[in-house]
This record gives sequence, C-alpha cells and structure tokens, in this order.
Amino acid sequence: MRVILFLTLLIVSSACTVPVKKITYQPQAEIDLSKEVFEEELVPIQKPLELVDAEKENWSFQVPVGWSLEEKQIATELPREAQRQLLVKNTDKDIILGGFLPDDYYLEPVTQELNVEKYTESFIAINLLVYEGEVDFYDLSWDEFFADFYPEVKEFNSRELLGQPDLKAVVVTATDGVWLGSQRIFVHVEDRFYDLSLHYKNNEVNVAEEAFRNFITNFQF
Amino acid sequence: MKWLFWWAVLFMLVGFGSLQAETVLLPDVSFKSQSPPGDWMNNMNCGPTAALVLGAYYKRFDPETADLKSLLDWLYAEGLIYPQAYAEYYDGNVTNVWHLEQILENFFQLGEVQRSNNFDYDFLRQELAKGNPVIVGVNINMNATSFGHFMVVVGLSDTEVIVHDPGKTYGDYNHYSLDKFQASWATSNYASLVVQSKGAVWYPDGSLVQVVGDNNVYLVKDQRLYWIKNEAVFNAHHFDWLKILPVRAEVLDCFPYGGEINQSPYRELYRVGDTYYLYEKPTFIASTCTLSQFTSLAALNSWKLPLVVQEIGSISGLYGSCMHGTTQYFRDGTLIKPTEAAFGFGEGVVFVATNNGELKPFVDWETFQLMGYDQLELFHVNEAELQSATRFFGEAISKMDALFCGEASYQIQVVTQPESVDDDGDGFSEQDGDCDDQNPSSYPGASEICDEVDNDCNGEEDDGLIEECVTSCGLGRHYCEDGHWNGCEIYEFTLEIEDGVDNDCDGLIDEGFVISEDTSPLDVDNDNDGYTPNQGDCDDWSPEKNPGHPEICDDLDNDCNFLTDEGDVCAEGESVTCSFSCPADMNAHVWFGIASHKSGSSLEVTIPVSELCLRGEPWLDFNCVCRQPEWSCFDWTVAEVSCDQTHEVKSGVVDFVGEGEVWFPDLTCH
Repeated sequence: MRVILFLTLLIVSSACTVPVKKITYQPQAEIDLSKEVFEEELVPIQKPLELVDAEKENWSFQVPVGWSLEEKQIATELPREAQRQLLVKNTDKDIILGGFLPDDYYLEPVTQELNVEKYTESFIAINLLVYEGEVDFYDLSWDEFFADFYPEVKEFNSRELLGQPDLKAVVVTATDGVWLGSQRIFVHVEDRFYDLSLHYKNNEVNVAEEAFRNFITNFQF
Repeated sequence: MKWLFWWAVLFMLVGFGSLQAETVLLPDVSFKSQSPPGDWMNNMNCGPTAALVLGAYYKRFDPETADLKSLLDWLYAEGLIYPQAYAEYYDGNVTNVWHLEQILENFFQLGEVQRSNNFDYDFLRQELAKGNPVIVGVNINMNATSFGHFMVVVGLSDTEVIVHDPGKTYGDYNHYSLDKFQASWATSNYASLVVQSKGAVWYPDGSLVQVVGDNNVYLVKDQRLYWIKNEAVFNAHHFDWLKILPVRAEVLDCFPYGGEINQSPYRELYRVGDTYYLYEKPTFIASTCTLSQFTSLAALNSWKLPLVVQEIGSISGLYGSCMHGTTQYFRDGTLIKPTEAAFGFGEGVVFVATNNGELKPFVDWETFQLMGYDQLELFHVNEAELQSATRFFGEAISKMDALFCGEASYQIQVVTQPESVDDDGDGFSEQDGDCDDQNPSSYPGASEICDEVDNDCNGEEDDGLIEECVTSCGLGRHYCEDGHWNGCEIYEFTLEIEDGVDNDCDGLIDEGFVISEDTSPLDVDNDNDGYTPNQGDCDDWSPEKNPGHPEICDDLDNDCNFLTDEGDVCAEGESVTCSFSCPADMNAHVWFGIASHKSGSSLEVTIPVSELCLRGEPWLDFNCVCRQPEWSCFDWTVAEVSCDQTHEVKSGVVDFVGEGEVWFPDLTCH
C-alpha cells in the first residue's frame, strides 16, 4: 500500500503550494490512472522543501537545500550489478539502508549507544541505482530486466511519472524476496534502467515523500 | 538408503588413498526464509533468520515461522532490537554480528564467544569441512551495490559459493560466483560468524581412543569411556595398538566416564570341528570362566588373538565348568572392508563393527576421514565371511553423528571488523592503536627497543634510543642505528696527562706538555718509543719507526736503516682468517679489498692484511643472502662470524646499510 500511496502522490503537482491531500488508492486489477478512485482528506499545511539544482554524472536534478549528494563507490564491475549509484540524503552522516549493521554502528553494543560521530538513525534518503552498458538495455523488456537483476520480483505494474509522461516506469507489486524502500520505482530510458527508492527513519513521512516526488519530477533521465 | 549411493560413488576411492573433494557442501542444513512472519516489504529479519538457521542446525530441528517469531519476541523483550515504525511487527529490524552472537549464545545457548579474523576461502572451506555453516555479511542478491544482507554459507567450490539466502522464499542452496561473493562480502568488511564445534567426535562402541599428547587409552563401551589402566592390561585384552584413534581432548567431554579396566584376563582358544571357542577368566587366578563361541573363523580372525588354537573332540567338558558367554561376531572397533560388492552395498563400502555384530557403514569419505579411520587398518572379508560374522547392518554414520556427541560443547567464533581484533595478543588491536598487529612488541605504550621497529606506535622507529657509555678514551653515547647499537661515540675525552699514554685517544701521546726550554727538540721522544732523533729515531712521531723496531711488511722503514720492508718481510704476509656461517637456506657473502668477493653456504676466507688494508682500514663486509630466489632477502645479523684475530662485528654503515662489517682493531694499515 505504501508504494501505491507514493504513486498517487506523484500526480499531485501542487503539493508545494496548496494544502497537501492525502490520497488513498483503491487497487484494481488493471492499473488505469484515469479510472482510479481517490478519497481525499486534508492534512496540515507543511512548509515546502526549498530545492536547489544539482548535477552528477551528466544528470541534472534538484535536491532540497542542505542535503548531501553522494556518488557511492561501485565496489566492482561485475556483471548483473548496478554501474552507478547516487545517494541523496538529508544528513552528512552515514546511514543504514539494508538489514546488515556494520560492527561500528554502536559504540557500545550492549547499551546500543549509537556511534553518532559516524552514523545517524534519523534520516531521509533517496537511493538511485543505474544499470547500463552491460547488455543491450535498449531492447531489454521489464520481464528480462527483473529476471536478471531482481529475481525476487514476481509482479509489477506500469506507472506514469509525474511531469514525465513519456517515460516508461513501473512499480513492483509482488515479490518472493525481501523488498526494501518505503517507495520504489523503476524507470527505463533508452539504454538505461533506473532503480529509485526512498528510505526514511525517524522523520516525517510527508517530508520524505515530497523530497522523493520532487527528485523524480525534476530528474532529467 | 541415500548412503548406498554415496558409497557406490565415493568409496570407490578408499582403496586408492585419500579423496580431496573440490566442493564442500553441507547437504542437511534446513532453510528458513526471513518472511513469514511479517511481509517482504522492509523485512529486516535476515540476521535473526540466519542465526535461526544455525541454531536449528546445531539443535537439530527444522526452523519454522513460529521459531522466528519466538526469536523476534525474545529480541524485542531483551531490548536488543525494536519494531520498525512503519512496518509490520514481525518485520524485525536491522542487526549486526553482535546481535546474532547474542542469539546463538543466549537464545540457543550454544557456547562462548570467540573472535578472530579468519576471512578467507580457506577459513570457509575448513569450517564447512568440519560441518559448520557460516553466516556472512553480504548484500541482497549478492550484489555489492545492493542493500546490506545476511546469508549463510553452506557450500563452497573452486568457482562458487553456495548459500542459504533468507531474503528469498526459495533461498536454499543458491549459487553465486566467487567473484560476486567476494565483492559483496567485502562490503561488510568480511563479517562472518560461525558456531564452531570443538572437534569433539563421537565414536561407536569398541573404539580405542587416545587424546593426542596423553598416554591414557580409553575404550568406548556402552557409550562410556573406560580407561585401560596400563600396557599389561591392554595386551591381556589383546587390544590392537594400531587401532587406537588419536583424538582431541574435547572427546572426553563427549562420553561419560565409565571406570577403569584394570584386570588382565586369561584366555585360551579351542576348536571343535569348524567351531571356535574363547575360554576366558577375569584373571589368571580367577576360579570362574566363560566360554564364548565365535560365529565363524572370520569373526575369530577379526579379534586377532595371538593364541594357539587347541583342538579338542568335545566342548562339553568346558561347558560344564564355565558360564556360557555371548556369541562373538566381528570384534567391535574393527573396520570391515568387503572385497566385493555385497548385500547391496557398493564395492567401496567400509563398515565399523560395533555392538557385537552390528556393522555401520559411513555416509561418505569425509566422515570416515573426520573420525580418523583413514589411518587404521582395514579387515578384508568376502561376502560369505561378511555374512558369517554379522548380526545386522546398522544406520550409516553421518558427519552429523560424528560431530555432535552427547552433550558436546561449542564455541562461537565471530569475525567482524579485523581492525577490532587483537591479532598478536599484545592487548591492543588496530582499532586500539596498534601500529603493527602482527608484532606483539609493538603497541601503544610499549618500550622502544633497538630493532628498527616502531614499538611504541608513535610513528618513529627506534626513536630516543641513546645511552651513556664510558671507555678509557672518555664519556660517550651509544646510538641505535638501523636496529643495532653503534660503538660508543666519545663526546667528553679523557684528559691527556704526561704518562706516556694516549689518554684521549687522539693518536698523540702526552701532547701539550711543556718541554723545558733548554731541551733540544732532537732529544725529545715525542712518540714515546724509547728513541729520540738524536738516538736515531727516523720518525719521532711514529712509534712504529725507531732503530729498535723490527722491519715489518708495511711499506715503512721501521728500523730506521734507510731501507723499506727489507729482508723479505713481505714474502709471507700476515693474514686474517674468518669463517662465516649462515642459515641453511642462505649463502654467506664476503667482500674485501678493492673488489674481492667470496660466497658459499659455509665460508672460510683467509685474507692477507695487505689486501685487507687496500680500503685504508682493516675491515671487510659480509651478508647472509637467500638462495631461492637469489637475493630475494638478506640479513647479516643471522650470520655467525669467527676470526683468528681480535675483531668487532658492526652494522654496515660505512659501505652499505644492510650489510655487516668486521673490523680488526689490532691491525694497522700503513
């Protein structure tokens, strides 16, 4: 449901200037945005995030002011792995996105005293993985892509990206494996596949989702 | 009957020596995915699930969803993790190796915690070979760019790692290339965790075991250990010294102690027709006896009794006076090897006899080897002999049977940040500031010693190593240079006094003392050699030249007769002989004169002083050099040097740092 909530939020273009509408999506067998049924309710006004232009790896996009942009080191150039990785977060400290905590995460494991010099448990982060180059991504179907790179994916549905209706995008609706990220969307542009995921902890969900929405909306794929 | 297949395949090789399997695989590790409970969305149960897989493996149960829920409940109750804010209750939360360690130690109560930094494939292979699955910190889909994740290594080949991936519904025995695994494992700094059995191995009844390094030999009987009191008792029971299995001390924890075997039985063998009987008394003087019948000659032969068989017409007489003993089959502890396929077993099968007539095969060669049976003699029988001395075929012995005896204890080995591990046992890890965690003499606060090493981890080697020294020439200082103390460098010379001695070691004797004004300079013995110029001293500043000095081979007119080196004094020059000995894998090298060089494994050189002095001072340099490959290393300090002249061995600071030098203080070069 969280994925669906996110996707419906994507189509709300005026979130930064008018009271935000919380939208609940009633799932249907076939996704047809024109036929979706929304229930609307008012939620408190929040101050919109102030954005700043950013560029990385020939991509231009916008991130909230004061957020950090990290081009994560790709450990290897092994097949079936992302070739590039960007991490946008509202903190300069390290964060944990997977289920594995490094050994120095706690200064004192017994009391779980956090190593605050290095890590934070309060964050919003957008993780972008880019797959390109290894195979003919131009003609690769979504089925083939998921079979190769995300074998745990069993079902997915197409989505229209807010402000970028011509792009091919999908969200995963069923897996038989662990699926991390409170929101996650895949985009296929020419010879590249993008995996964008939102992660937050001890932060306001509205802020996190707005940041994710803005990031995707302004990203020049 | 799966083991029949294994035997057909694997034990073909028993007779040909050892089998080194390329793939190590634990086939019996039950799998559990991390969901359910919870759902797959943001499920963080990979760590607890990996620990559950290990706990279930060692506790021998199949892990279920309810077990994972119980474990998560325990983690929450202990405050070790907290439910995620935006996820299902049983989606768990992030964990690290420490959490898993707590689970194994306190939830499953598997043992104590030990840390090390074995993180290579050999480590994994060794643990797997011992039957230990290994938890590793990797990434989802073993993709180094994906999110952090725990998996359990259950197999390893030369090209692949085989894992249980709790992050998938069908995550059991997933294969990944070693390249992919290594890249992913590296992202967690090779975090891994293993519950390591102490090597305690179970043995069937009839086995003779001896702890390595201990003299005591025990018999396993009724799954208890009986100490065989001494050699006489051992021999009287006709136990076979070649059947003793060397075991680790932990095996003593496996079996309860049964007592000691301290009596030497008395035995005789009888034959009536084709039937053999064992007559036995508890001791030679005992009045009671037992008469036992062997099922066949093969059974008797397996006992290896060094007794003469007495043929008698009837056994009735003995039966009348003795108790009827148990019918004897193959002797317990004997390794029975059929010479051909028999009773559906493959040709390679080997059984161990136990429980008087039960034959237990081994599931695979690794188990056979693990238990140490590969070192013992096999007793070869044909099918008829096999049948004649066997009561029944028992369950095959698996590695699980071999590794987990009774109340065996386990130790947990945790491998996380290598930096946090004190490798050299000096009390400091790299994380604690140990600048060389492979050298126990280096750690913060250690005393600096003269060894070319930064002992106190302040970033400098041999710093501050200066010692005061005193010689006849004055006060000086020793300095540590290149890992060696140099000679005493004099900074405050002894005061020269008028005593005919060079007190301040400047080469002059009694210099600076006032000579009375009316004394002719030609009457002054400046070099204190007993002669003045007026007395014929041709060089009053050199004690080697005066009318009383013998002519020597030094290119000087020593005896002041206006002739130099006359009288063939140079015909047989003075020489020095030194021997140099280096370790076995090194050659000694010696350089002297202008460009003379000799080398050899053990070197003795005789050098004319005249050649030695071609350098201006009497010295040579030497070194010990590795042979394979040549000059791959060198170390002069390992050389043993002896000379027939007074000599001093120093570090090579004049010619080349890294060499040794031999100086001859009593020799003078002219």
